[in-house]
Amino acid sequence: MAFVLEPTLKVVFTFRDNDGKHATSEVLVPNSTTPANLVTFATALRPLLGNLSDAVIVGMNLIIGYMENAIPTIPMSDIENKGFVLFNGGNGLKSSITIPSILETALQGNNQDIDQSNTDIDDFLTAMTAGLSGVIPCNASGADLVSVKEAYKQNRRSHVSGRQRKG
Amino acid sequence: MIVQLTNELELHFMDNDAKVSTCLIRFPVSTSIPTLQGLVTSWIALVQAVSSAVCIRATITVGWRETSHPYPGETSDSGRSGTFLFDTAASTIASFRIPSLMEDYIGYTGPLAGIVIDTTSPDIQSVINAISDGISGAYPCDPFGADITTLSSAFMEQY
Repeated sequence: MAFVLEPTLKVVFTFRDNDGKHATSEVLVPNSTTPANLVTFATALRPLLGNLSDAVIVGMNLIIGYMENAIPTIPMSDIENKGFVLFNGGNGLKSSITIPSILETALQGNNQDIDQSNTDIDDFLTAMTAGLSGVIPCNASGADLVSVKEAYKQNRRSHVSGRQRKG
Repeated sequence: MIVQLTNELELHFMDNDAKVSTCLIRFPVSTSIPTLQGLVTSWIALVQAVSSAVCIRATITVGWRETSHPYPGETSDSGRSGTFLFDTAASTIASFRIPSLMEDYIGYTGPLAGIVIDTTSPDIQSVINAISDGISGAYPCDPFGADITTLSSAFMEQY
């Protein structure tokens, strides 16, 4: 069991037409491509595509994926039971994160609130607010996550289409 | 102006019903891709320790957004696609699409009028060369990693 780099890295350009509809253009490169070369490639390709389309390029994403090469047997679990954690951001804005299929052992006696004194929960929350190896997570506007405001279990339907619950 | 967004590490978890959901963690723009790559397994371990589902995939996304762009052309249509099929070194076919390809690059004579793409156009050639020859050490490939070699065909599709 190990996470290995997927065979290809992906460059995705998002186009928007005058009706506001979006479409994408994707290019794959081998996983041996260095991040610097990937950025240079995408940056150089963007105007070339822009010259050919009367839609406008509104976004560009570089995606590097890792996959588990030997998925173990999955125990009883439900990704719709999420651990929801709301953080206070350094810029005054709130930011949330969800943990799919939060462990019941990580909850308090009311089976609702997350037990922040749980060792594994504490390790996770500390990493979120203090960072790992000097790298501190942030909110969407780039501000550090400062402290936990709320943490509880929340049931939220999965948006994955085409899959049904068994039983 | 194109602006870089916060970097994203997204962890994909699967439960025993094979449903998948993700945990998204953001990092500052200043965090380099190699630094993020070095932290992937640590973050997987931290979140896996508190989830009964199993992490099956992790993706790093580095994104940019255009903050001020011209209005899309009146004839633009994201359902109109310039489709390019390329041969690969492994004798497979790789496809590449350009949404809303300008009608200026479509051939309007002959039996394939309105369908064929003018591959002699310098602008079209620039993209074909970028895909088949690569740019700055990045060489496009098919989903299995096989190098893209030459253009096989190019045509319009309407979705």
